[in-house]
Amino acid sequence: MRRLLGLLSKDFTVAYRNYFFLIVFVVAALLIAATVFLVPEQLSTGTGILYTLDEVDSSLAKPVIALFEGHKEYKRLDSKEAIVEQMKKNKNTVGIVIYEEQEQLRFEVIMQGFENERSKNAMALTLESLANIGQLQAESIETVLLDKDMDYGKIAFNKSIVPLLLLNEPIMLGFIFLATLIFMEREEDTIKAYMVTPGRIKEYLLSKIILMMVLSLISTILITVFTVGIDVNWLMLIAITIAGSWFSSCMAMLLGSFFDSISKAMIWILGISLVLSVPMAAYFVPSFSPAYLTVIPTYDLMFALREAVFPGTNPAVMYRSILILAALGAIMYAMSVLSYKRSLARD
Amino acid sequence: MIRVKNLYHSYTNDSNYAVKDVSFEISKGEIFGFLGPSGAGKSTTQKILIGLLQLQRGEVSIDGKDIRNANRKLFNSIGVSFERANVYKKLTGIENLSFFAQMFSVPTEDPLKLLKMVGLQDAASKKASSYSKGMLQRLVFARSMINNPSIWFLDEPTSGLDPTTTSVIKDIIRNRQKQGATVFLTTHNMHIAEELCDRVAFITNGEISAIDSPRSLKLKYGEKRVIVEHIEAGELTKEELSLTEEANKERLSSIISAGKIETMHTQEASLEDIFIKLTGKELK
Ligand SMILES: Nc1ncnc2c1ncn2[C@@H]1O[C@H](COP(=O)(O)OP(=O)(O)OP(=O)(O)O)[C@@H](O)[C@H]1O
Ligand SMILES: [Mg+2]
Repeated sequence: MRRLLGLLSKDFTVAYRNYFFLIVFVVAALLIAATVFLVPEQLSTGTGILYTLDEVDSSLAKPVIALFEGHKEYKRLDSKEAIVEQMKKNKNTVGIVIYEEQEQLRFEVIMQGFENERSKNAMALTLESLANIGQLQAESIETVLLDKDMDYGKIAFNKSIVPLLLLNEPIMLGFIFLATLIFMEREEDTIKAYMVTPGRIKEYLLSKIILMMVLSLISTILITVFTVGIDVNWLMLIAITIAGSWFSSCMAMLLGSFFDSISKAMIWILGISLVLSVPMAAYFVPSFSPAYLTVIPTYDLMFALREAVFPGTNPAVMYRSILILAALGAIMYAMSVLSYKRSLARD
Repeated sequence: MIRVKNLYHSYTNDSNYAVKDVSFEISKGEIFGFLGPSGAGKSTTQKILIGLLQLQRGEVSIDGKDIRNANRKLFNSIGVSFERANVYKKLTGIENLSFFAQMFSVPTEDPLKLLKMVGLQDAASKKASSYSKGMLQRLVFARSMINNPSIWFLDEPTSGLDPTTTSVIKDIIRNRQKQGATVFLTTHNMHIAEELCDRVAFITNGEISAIDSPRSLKLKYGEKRVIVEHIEAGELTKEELSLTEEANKERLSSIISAGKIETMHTQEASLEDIFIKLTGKELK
């Protein structure tokens, strides 16, 4: 215990002198400012959609037209030019040109240019199903169209992105900080001096992981308090953050043990953190959940964070995520200990 | 105290040995010098003894215990000074020592006292990144004493230090020996070895060629020589003669009987000469 405290005090001092704490504060402040001031609170809802048919075989387009005519936001115009004209007058509109290619319906979407990812995604998804309208049941199309009113529709848009920030910050910063620390010590060769004391590798690694957890917690708490406020499930949020940080720092440790310099490890560090952030693509489109996304542990983590920040519909995801991350982290931790022992005996 | 028997080590896991059939014993309270040129296998041997390299073949026991199944607590009585100054550059001198003090589960020395001993008291609260090479080396040396080790491994503790600091370090080593420490000293500096070591081992290409006290090595292999300056045929001539070779001895008698000697010195072989004689290698 005394040893772990000694290690912690050393790692915290080194982290502090490398400005890790400052960086966490600054990055959190920037993210908070961007969330509060730059991201719009409301997405333009009730967008009008202008559409036109461009030499389409009417039998093919019939179901689509029937569907569109049933919604008052949809308005049919005569030509693409008319749509563009109209869109310039009313910024709250989107245009669709329906045409035909190889006996298939195709859609050309005309946007204003400032639409955000969320509405683009919704649009893409809608049109994708429209293209296959022949095979689809009318009801399922309705669902897709109405999917815009998601469960989280009541949350201001800028706040709703907070879980993504919470997911991304600890992983990216953790990876980079940990890699910096590990390779700095490898460069200094100090681990050899440590290895001729009664200290163990597992304590050595644990101390760094705890440092990463504390940095993640600082970042998570700051971002949450200043964007969403204090009305969240703190117990769960903290538990999830610790589990997420445990997972990502164990992974970074393991990765770091295979390389002898940060430049060799960097490509892997970047690659893997990229893979870990891929599930974010599914955040606003929960219906988009292919297996290759959901098996990435950050997929669950992301929804667990959302559940903790905006308590709601699916508390089970929090417990599941914590368990999975803790278990995966433990496996990688054990592997890191072995791998470090081996790499030390190597040179 | 330390027993090494038929030690082999290959970095490539083949028959390309960096250390080959090395055996020696160090008794308690002894300063044992490990001498050899660069690449001889000195650091490799030390790393195996302190567990930084895996013991591949042979036997090593410290304090009667086989190091293969040694407990990490054994390190409480071991101190290691590395040839590379491996300290935390972001920490100050004193923080470096305090950190390591916390890693041991035995009473430790006062960090500031150790820094004073090696003349680093003024730099004690400066970050190690601002230290010069010699200061770093002294810091590593001071660190190796933090747990009051009874077995002390020193890898090139004086390389690159000025003569004054070197003699300070030598004194510290002697003092600790008086207090009962056993010292394994790796060096290619013959003078240090000659002054400090009770016994030395010569190692080249991973193999030991001789183990003995510096004095008996000299007695055994050191050829006593005389340098005579004398007048011969009206001219001053200088000759170096061996005191063991017959022809040389006869020549010397004839010079003496001629009675025209100006100066005459006996010349003792240095440990370095003996090293070259035994191993055919320079100590570089
Ligand atoms: N990590 C390593 N991997 C492969 N070979 C190594 C490694 N370390 C040392 N060697 C080789 O083992 C041999 C012995 O090296 P060692 O470091 O023990 O020499 P040394 O006697 O300590 O030399 P020096 O006086 O330069 O410190 C050398 O031929 C060296 O090239
Ligand atoms: Mg060496």
